[in-house]
Amino acid sequence: MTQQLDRDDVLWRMQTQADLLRLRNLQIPKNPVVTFTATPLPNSFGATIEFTLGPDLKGCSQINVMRNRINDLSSAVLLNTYPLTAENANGDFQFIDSDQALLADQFYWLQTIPLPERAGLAQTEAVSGTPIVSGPVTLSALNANLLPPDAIADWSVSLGAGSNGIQLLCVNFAVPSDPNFGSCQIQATGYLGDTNPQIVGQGLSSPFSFTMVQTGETVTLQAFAVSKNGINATSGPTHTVTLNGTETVPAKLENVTVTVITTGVQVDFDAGLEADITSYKVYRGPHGSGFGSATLKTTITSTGSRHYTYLDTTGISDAAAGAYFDYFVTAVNHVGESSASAAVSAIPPLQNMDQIGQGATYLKVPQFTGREIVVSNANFEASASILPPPGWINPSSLNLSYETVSPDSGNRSLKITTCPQNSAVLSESKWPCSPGDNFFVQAAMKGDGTSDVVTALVFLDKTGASVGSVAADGGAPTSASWNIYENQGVAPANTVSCQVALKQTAVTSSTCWFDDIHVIRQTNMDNELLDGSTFRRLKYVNSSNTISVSSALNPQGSIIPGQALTVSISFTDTTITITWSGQSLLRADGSILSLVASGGSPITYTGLSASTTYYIYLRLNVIAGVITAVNSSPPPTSPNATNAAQTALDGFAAIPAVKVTTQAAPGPPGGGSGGGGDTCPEYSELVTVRDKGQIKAGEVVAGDMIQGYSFKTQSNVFRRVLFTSGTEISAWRIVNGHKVSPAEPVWDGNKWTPAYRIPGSTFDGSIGTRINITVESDDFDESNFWLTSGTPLLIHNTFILPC
Amino acid sequence: MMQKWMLSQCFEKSDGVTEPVCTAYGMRFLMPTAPATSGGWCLVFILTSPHQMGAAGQDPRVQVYRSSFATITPETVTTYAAQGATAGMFLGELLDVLSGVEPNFGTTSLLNAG
Repeated sequence: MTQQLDRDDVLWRMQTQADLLRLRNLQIPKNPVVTFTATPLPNSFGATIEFTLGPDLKGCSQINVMRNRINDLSSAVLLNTYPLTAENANGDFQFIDSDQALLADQFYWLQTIPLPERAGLAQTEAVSGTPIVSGPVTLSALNANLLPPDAIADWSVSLGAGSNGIQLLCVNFAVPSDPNFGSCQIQATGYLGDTNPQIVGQGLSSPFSFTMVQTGETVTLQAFAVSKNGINATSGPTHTVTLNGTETVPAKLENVTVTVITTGVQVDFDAGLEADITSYKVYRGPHGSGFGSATLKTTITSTGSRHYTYLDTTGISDAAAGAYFDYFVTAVNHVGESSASAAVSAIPPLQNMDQIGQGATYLKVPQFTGREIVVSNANFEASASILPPPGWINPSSLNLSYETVSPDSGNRSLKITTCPQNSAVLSESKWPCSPGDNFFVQAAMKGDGTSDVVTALVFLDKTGASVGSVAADGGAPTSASWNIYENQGVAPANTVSCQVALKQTAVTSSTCWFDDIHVIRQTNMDNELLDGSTFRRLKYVNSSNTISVSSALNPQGSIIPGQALTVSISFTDTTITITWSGQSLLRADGSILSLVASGGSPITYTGLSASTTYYIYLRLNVIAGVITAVNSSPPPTSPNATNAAQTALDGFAAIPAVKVTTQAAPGPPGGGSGGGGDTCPEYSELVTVRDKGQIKAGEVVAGDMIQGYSFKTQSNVFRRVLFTSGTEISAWRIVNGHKVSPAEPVWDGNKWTPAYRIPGSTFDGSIGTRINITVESDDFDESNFWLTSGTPLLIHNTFILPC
Repeated sequence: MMQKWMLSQCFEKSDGVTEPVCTAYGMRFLMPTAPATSGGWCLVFILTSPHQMGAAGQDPRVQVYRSSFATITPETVTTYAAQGATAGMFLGELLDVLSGVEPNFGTTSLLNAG
């Protein structure tokens, strides 16, 4: 039949066909896959999917790798995708399908997805073409993972008492780390008269149990690891048992673990399967010394639980420096105690990268508490086989090994063989730090005697470039013995982080050893940083292993300023004599400096010229509390800058120069004084001092807290005494029974009044010692204190009147 | 604080040193010459205060010169008569005379005396 089309129909159909051809642009995709294989992984789960592509990827968008356990692409799992761009033409591709145990047949496909196309006259509709499929490639379970698993290394078996001719056997085995491991199979030889091995038990996990007939035979049991695909290991350890109904001790426990935690060492183990286990015993001994050296730590009563945990709170702290413990566990039934589980070491873990070493330390650097341990005894004990050591990197691919012969501590040291100049093993961590941070670095090092062996803390800027270092430089040590080197240094400008580097610095390559690396950052000054009990001065260890102190803080800086020492001067035409009474001064650290009275050892100059002015330069030894003169005898007759400077040297507080003019002619000596107080109570007046109670004013010393009264808070307060001194005078006022200096400010109940103006006060001309007590004024500028005997009298608020 | 001259009797301290009584009314002082005899008087240059001068005014062993233009007291005349003190002299005049004999009477400041 001929279809009659009108002109419009013909034109429309021609137009549509042309559009479609144009839109497809003749890019009809072809299957780009040339080869496609799936191969089982030899020693593990899964398979390797490999495929190659041809040169023509036109019209193709991407290729998908698909897998299913049945031959159904629609329900397959998408494993991976690859873009089919031009550069992938003729490419070889490989995908490891490691997430599949291949216990059953597997089907793999490659699915080529075409580029989307536009459809319709307006080209607004996107149409995806049908995917092009390669495959399936079938991977038979029988062909996958045919290699045997790792053998079981250790296992143990116990026999239960025979019952009705049957004996229960309980097995504990160490689970191999091989991921292909599937189960533990026990084969018996000599069982039921059969000289060939036969399978008598199998378990997926430890422990497990099975039964055997109580034949009276002595049989050999062999444990085989079996892969998940059913492949047996080629060998396995054996035990011989006699099936005569005699119960044995429990099987040795396997899979005991220890975990070092902040509170100690946690020991974990699964219970044995023997129903008659009554208890478990946990032992602890020095690492490597075996069960014979271990001592019982605890006995845990069996509760029927499947798992037990014991926390040894002293498992770390009891360990000797650089050492750690091994733990053992036994199970006990009425027959006896099982053999000990394999030793498990409680090695402190790498808790974070700030602790790349373990163990205790013999650190020589200052043991101040204001410190941050950046690296705590990195002695390479974390692993006997992993290189570079955990926590370290080896960017220069240096020849690293562990030296187990005579390490400085622990079991091994790190050896760099034929190390090129300045090629370093680096700490993996870069610790943040700032310019000015003070670090101490210490390490034990050996070398071959030809080069400097160095453990350096390298300071890095924000770009990672080195801006300086603190190096414990071992000089050129030999391998004969360990040498401990240390150094101290401050992070320079632009430092943002630091990193430890182990290296040698000679041009010629050499071999070097490292052990026990420590890095400490000083965080604050504290008592352990002092060079004495009084003054806060920073100590550090210099490169020659000498303890040094900073000169930044001079001792005299700790004397609270403004404390007026009192000296008395007498002179004739040929002599000058300087004396002083006992005084006490407060240091900034709260300690007291007691100035010993001159007594019979005044400073005396004789043979002087009459009518001559002399300049005497005195200083106070702030440790001994003694006043001495630095000038020569006779004193200079004009100001002397050198003497003036000498009064303020380290360890001394300068006293202003004393200027004395001798008398013109022999006669009664003149006199004078410098410094001193003006008003205060008499020596025997009682005051109240915190922690001392009521004491004489003359017994108050700097640093005491003397009781006063705060008008602001309307309550008694304690004020710090800054300075005390005594001066003999012969004029007093008696106010309400209290003996005070004549102009002493006294609170009369309404206002501060000089003592001599207090109504009823009386004059006293006796000789006595006026005790000058300077107290620290409080936030309200009050500085009074009480005379507390009889009717208390408030005195000494010299300047400030209450509101 | 202010620096004033006081005529003062003296006492002997426990260490044997002769000390002017007026030291109870000040803190830093200079005594150019001690009295020749016990109970005698001497001029003392002292750092003191108005209250202390007020208190000293009630002490019969002390005479306060508040000004260099104060007329010297009879006790002062007696004490320094041998050096030229005469009744009616101002203190300043007396000091001028005394400093010619003993330089420390010419002291004008205690603040640099240690």
